[in-house]
Amino acid sequence: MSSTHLRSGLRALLCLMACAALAQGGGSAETTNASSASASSAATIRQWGISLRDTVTGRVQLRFSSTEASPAPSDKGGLVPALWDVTGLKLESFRPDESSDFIIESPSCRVNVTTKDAGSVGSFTARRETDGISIRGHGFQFDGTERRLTVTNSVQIELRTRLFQPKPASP
Amino acid sequence: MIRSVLLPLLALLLTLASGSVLAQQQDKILLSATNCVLELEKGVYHLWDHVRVESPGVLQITCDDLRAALPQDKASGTSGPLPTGGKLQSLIASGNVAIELFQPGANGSTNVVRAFGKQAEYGSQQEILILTGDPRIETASGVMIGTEALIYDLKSRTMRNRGSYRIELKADILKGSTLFNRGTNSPKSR
Repeated sequence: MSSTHLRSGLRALLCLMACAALAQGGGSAETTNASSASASSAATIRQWGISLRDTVTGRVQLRFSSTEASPAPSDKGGLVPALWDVTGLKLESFRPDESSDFIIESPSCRVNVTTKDAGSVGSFTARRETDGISIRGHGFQFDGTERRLTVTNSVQIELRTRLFQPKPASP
Repeated sequence: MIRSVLLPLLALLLTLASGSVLAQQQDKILLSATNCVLELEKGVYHLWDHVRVESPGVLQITCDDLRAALPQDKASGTSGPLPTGGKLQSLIASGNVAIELFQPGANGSTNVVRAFGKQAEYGSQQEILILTGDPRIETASGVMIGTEALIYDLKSRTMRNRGSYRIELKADILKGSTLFNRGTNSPKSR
């Protein structure tokens, strides 16, 4: 078998694994830009992306994308279809009207496409463009179902708002 | 001639720029802590361990635990860079609460009001800080110690209380006062 056939075969297999994992979790998914799989590290996909859609409305809820991803091994050494170790994660969450909500970025983390969560002991940033909220810290877990972000090792949040209108100085 | 026109213009630009920087600072709140759980959709933030809240030029809070409710994003779907809600709905700080409020004083000076207690609540509707649990507020002129709650109105910069309270004034504030310079009715020495 030529290396081209091997590559396309592996790519299809990995996409199938991700979709099967999502189907088990009751979501729907589409993988994007799984452009190449290296034969030397068979389980690595570059420009990996997956969109999770609402099963009722069909609208995108979460979109995971990364520069590289590989299926994470289980404790027994086998590959787990739902788990991915990703490099250069960009996780976008969307509102019901499909407008962009939070964007979370992490240089390295683990993603579970079935439970729709992502986490890492390393650094991360999160931001929401519409109101200028920005978050950065170390050690995070994002629960995509509840849209809950847990940080366990230092967090800084910047809010673009004010507490109150200070009274001007009296003469 | 050119100089006489340019200088006032430059001064005006600098004034506008500094005003803009100040406004931007006051539109910013920084929260930091070791741990947190952020309910992104509900806008409920819970931070604990080494919590610090900073609103540059306005206030600073340190405490053990903080719960904050953020304004609902009414501009859903729009792409404006600033929040439309504008204000934090509420803050509840608890455990070793220390607050520093920076208030503009006369002649460009800054007055610092320090408040301490076991819990502090801020509500954006009334713009008040309610301090409970051995509440104590320190100003340049003295200390106010309450038994139940001290309530500080951020808009009017006035204080009121719930329960009894004690005020300790610094002797300095009586300096120059004529209160104790009156004549007495004691017999004059011969």
